[in-house]
Amino acid sequence: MGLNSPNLKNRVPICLILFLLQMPLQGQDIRFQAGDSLNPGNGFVEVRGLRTEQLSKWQEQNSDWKTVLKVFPKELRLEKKDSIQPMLGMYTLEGSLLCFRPRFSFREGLEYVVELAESGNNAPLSVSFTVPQASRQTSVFVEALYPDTGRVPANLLKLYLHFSGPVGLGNIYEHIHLLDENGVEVEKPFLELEPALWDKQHRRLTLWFDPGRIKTDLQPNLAKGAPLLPGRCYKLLVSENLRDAFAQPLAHGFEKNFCCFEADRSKPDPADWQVFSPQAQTLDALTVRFPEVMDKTGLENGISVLDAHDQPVAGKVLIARAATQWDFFPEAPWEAGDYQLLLYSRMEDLAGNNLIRLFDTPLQGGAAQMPAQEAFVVRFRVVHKK
Amino acid sequence: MKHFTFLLFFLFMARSSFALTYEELTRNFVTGKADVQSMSVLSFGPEGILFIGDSKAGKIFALDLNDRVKNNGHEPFKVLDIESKLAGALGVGVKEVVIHDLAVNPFSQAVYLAVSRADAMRVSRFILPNDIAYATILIKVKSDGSLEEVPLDNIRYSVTDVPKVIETGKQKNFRGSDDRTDAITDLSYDDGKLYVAGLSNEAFQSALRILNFPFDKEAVHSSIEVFHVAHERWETEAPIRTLFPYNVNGEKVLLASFTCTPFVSIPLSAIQPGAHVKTKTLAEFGDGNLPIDIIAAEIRGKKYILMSNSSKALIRIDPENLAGQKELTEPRVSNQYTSGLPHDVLSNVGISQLDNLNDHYVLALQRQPNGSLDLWPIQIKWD
Repeated sequence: MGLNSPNLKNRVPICLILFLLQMPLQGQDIRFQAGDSLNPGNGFVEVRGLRTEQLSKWQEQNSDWKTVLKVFPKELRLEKKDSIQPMLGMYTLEGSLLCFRPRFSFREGLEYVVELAESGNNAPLSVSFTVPQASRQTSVFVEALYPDTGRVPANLLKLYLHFSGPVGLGNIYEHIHLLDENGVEVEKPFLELEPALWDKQHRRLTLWFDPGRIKTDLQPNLAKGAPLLPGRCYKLLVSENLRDAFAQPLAHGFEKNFCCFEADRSKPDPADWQVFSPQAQTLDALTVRFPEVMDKTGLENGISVLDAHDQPVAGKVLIARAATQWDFFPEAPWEAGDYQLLLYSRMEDLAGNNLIRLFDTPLQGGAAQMPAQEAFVVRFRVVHKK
Repeated sequence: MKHFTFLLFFLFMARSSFALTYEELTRNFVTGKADVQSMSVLSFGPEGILFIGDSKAGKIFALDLNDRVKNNGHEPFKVLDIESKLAGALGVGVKEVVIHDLAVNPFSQAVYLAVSRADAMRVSRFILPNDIAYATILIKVKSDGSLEEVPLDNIRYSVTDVPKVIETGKQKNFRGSDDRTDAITDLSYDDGKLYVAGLSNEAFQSALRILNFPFDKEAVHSSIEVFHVAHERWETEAPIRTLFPYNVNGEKVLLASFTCTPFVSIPLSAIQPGAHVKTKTLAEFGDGNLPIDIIAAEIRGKKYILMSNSSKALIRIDPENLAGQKELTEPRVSNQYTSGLPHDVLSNVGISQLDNLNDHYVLALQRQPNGSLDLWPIQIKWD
């Protein structure tokens, strides 16, 4: 078993990994003992070899250890001087060994300063230490980006970033960048919603290209233009500095290149879709193929299958061929007979055009009239193999 | 039987009319570890007893803080840059401490804070401290401005479950956090009763509960519906964000406020077991805001109600206007920001938490124009 095995913690006797990281400090006397490698902040500060006369003086004066040994976050101490108070914690004295254990653990990566009172008017002895980062066995990364094609319409509406684990809530947009082919950053291409559009597990992030810049003649469109232009190529960058749900940076960054063709200004038309019926008594896929790339997330719940009694057929959906194909695998073998596909009108292409409405539609006379149609019905028949 | 019921009712009412002594109030307290999981809201009861609403655990703790040296003084109390002090004490950077709630012990005037070590930069006018972290640290601000932790591992306390509390993982609120974080949004003690707002697991989620204190098995649970002027509809899913009991022309009501910002009154008589209570919307104080605290204070000899907000300066209401205010039942007209109850919006900005300090000062947690977060006394009386 290698040392980097994720099961290290469980397999190796605890005493082996609970080694204390010893950090010699400036002086001989004061040192920070980190916690174990998984929780280095769980450590303490100790002062060795206190002079006997100093100790007895403190004890004579009944000094509070809080006034003798103080620990501060260093930056705060430098900036705020005496207006802050030292860390809360517990002091113990054994012989000439004074130990400070903070009430709340040290922060990984943060620098602290320890100040030990000196006799008379001398400035306190002061030493600094930085708490090491924990060694993390696992880390989150970007698993996939949808659409996962290299060519998209210039009026692309949404991107979906799928992460391998849960990602934190705040400050995501500063870690996501869009560059053009010259490496120039596209200014604020995305709608920076706060809170951002996460799924329940915080693993899928939906990024909307700013609709105000996509929609023709809206103020942001007139002022800044569309975020993506036809004939140009772009690179999406996700920085490794984006934090996961445990505030750890990603295992590695992510990048993806794509180029834009002309804006897509037509609705997806089910009449152009090909339906491939499976054969009876098989578990073969029922397949729908599209002439263009569809919005993957919308497609996943965009189609239902009903049997001859109008009951939904149970099965699993797979989106294939870069979201130009929808495959449905039934739980039970197909029976010969008539079936229906319900194609919900909310399904969208990459430009946000759904089956009944273009995304970029001029408003006529006040509120947009939403056509009422909810689903298109396509009938198909399952027959026995000839 | 009818007479007997009446007698019981009379005894029930009478029970709350006599102020209980410290010994009576804490008779059923136990000593040990108070297993508080999240200090969602703090509020003082009588005799220095601190109530902690714990949304994560779905419980209310009553702590005997042993802070019973009576202070009748009327001195101001001020701590500048409390964030830096907390950061030092908790050993983190200045943007890594979050204050979830503040409460002043009316007995001793000592100030208590519910605190977490969390990313303070995530708090916004819509993202509350309880949305980003569980407060697990109770801090007492001593009279010299220094901070000490109140350890909960060996303390006299009493605890009760909040009935029908919303379950974890059911759904998220518009702020992106689990609805369970709003299980207890505020609590207020008055005359033997604890009024507890928050979300329940019932169809109408916004709930108001009345618990007896000292805690017993009795609890009244009502659902709450509010006419939301800015949202132009009746709502049953939005919890009360802050409430307190108040006498209007001899009738005791709860004054309460919701996100985006209806201000309502609820007659106590309406809160019955299982009742669905339609609140009376008295004012709309504007959308884009979360109300944080409501208190009553006598300012220059005149009674006022003060309400602090996440993104609006302190609101001051003259309670004389409460009784005559017509109920608001119509949506706002376009571009209208506030409506209903006449009120003033005071000059001090950045006040989030608010509590009574003494008869000369109200204590505010205030983000000053220079960025410093201060415990700041607002003078309400001059000798």
